[in-house]
Amino acid sequence: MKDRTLRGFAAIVLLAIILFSALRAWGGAGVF
Amino acid sequence: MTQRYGGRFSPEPGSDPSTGPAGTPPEAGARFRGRRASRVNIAARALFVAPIPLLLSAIGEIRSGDALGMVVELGAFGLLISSAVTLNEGLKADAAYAARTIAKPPAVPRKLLAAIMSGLGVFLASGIAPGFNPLAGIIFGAAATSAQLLAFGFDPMKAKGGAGGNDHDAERVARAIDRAEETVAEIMAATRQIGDRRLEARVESLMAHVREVFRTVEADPRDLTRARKFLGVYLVGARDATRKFAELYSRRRDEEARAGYEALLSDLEASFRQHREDLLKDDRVSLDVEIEVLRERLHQEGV
Repeated sequence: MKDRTLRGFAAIVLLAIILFSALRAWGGAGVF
Repeated sequence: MTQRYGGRFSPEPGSDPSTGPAGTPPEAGARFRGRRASRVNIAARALFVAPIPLLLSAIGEIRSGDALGMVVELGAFGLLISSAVTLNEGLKADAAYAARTIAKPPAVPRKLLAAIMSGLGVFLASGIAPGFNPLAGIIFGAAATSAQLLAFGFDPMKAKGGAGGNDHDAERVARAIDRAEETVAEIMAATRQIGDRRLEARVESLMAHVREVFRTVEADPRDLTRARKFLGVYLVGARDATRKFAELYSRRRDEEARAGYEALLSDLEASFRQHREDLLKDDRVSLDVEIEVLRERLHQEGV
């Protein structure tokens, strides 16, 4: 169970890094 | 009077009195026996969605006339999407590896490659894109790679062998079963072309027997020598016959050919079942011998 929790957190961190660097790039492109 | 629902085109024969009994109905759940449900990893699927703002951003760069920014952002988007594709393939290969008793590791370490691609993609998106800091990009990229390896793990790297057999035997069995599984998939594909639910159900139940033979061989690799004829000759013959029949029957509904094909299916089913029983009987004999030897020793030692 502990292993699964760790994996889940790592997956959330990964998704957050990808999503927010993508969103920042979108913001930097002057669309907003 | 109650009557079971089912008509002329239902997959189970004999349920409609107007058609008469056309053979024994396939066992319930036969088409799912010996198969595994495929798992869907939501996080791995979400990796397809997360980079989408990068695509919109690249379109924004086109609008504002920044060609370099567009190239970097499209590159990052491409890398992240390829990483998601590779990761999902890697998870599939992993599941296939886990399902087998005897298996070779996947030839390409897909999960590892996917993690590296994710790191590069994040580096491009957050380090090189105009207005960002390269150092931050390196850190984010490294964090993404390690998070992905932590979340989805590494690829299996070692070959899994059966008990009692050496590596060479295990590899031969794995290869033979791989090839036979391909043949089974080809038979199923050809069956779908026939477009007859009843025949499809029969072939599926036949393939369930075949898969049971696979599992038996996997459990005891010594059976491979005897199962070779079965895995090679019979199965390939069944595939060729199915292909020819599917081609003929889709062009012309030849009832005679159909009856012949159904007779072949019955023979194959009987033969496959017999074959598996023989393999299991051999296991029984060796178990009996082992038990007898052990009991004799215990008696001699006065237990």
